[in-house]
Amino acid sequence: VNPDSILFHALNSFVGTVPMVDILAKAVVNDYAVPTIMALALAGIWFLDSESDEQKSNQRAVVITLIAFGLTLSIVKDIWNIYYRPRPFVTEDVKLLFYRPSVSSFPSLPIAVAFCFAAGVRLANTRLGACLLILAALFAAARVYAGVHYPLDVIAGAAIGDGCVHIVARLAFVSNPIADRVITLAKRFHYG
Amino acid sequence: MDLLHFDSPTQAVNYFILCFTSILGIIQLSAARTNRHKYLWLEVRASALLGATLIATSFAWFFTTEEGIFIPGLAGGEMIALFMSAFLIAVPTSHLVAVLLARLRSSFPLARASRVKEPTL
Repeated sequence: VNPDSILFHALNSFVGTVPMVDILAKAVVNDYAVPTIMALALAGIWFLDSESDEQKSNQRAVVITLIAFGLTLSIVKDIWNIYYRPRPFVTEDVKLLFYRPSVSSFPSLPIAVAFCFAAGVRLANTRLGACLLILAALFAAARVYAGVHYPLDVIAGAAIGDGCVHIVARLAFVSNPIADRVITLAKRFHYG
Repeated sequence: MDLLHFDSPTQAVNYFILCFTSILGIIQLSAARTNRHKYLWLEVRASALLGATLIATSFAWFFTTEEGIFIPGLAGGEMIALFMSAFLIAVPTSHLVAVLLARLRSSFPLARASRVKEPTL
């Protein structure tokens, strides 16, 4: 008995029962909506606060998020190279609401990126970051509901994305000088 | 660059338009919140409203016109490249439009003054 599979079927079995939930899941689950909203929030944070100290800390948060994003991508792709987990629709009887992605199911890259961006925004703006974390959680639930991931895939993705931001933020002695250089360069070209 | 194939050029163009327009919107929202005249196109409240409208309409347009949302389309790397290019173009565009509108307003001070309500005796 695989608890991951049981939880997956518990969520996926609801597909088709309430049409409105299916529509909402489709609106959230696609590759464009949530990642673009997250990136947009990050772009907004870059320009937020005119006080120079606060603006600098916001812009540092954006650069830290971008470094963490790179780290997230490389960790997920390294795991994919070591371990391949078939998608739920390959091995199980699934009600699919999405197309059939071909890459490994574990860990979920879109969820890792969403949690990375949400955690990064949270470094600069707690309230907006919390809203984005809720959106990222909905994205994760929708991916399982739609039949493209197992719960463990999205949990691992969330942990990697969130963890990378916290690691990079903790390594301030490395990340802050990089962030300051990027901010100086951006200001030279009038980007903020 | 090896990752950028753009197998679906129409979708790439549509996604670029979504990013560009919504970034213009988010810049207006942020500038309105922090009163940064360098990027503000209109008065503070009007700019905030314009920003929110730009974001909402660009998302509504993309998700109602783009038919390939639920089929494999743009790869992650392509989306990042399009978003970054939209950002790089949207920031100077915002500044340029703000400067042009400010000049336009200063060129027609009478039009602005005529809108000011005459004090009643």
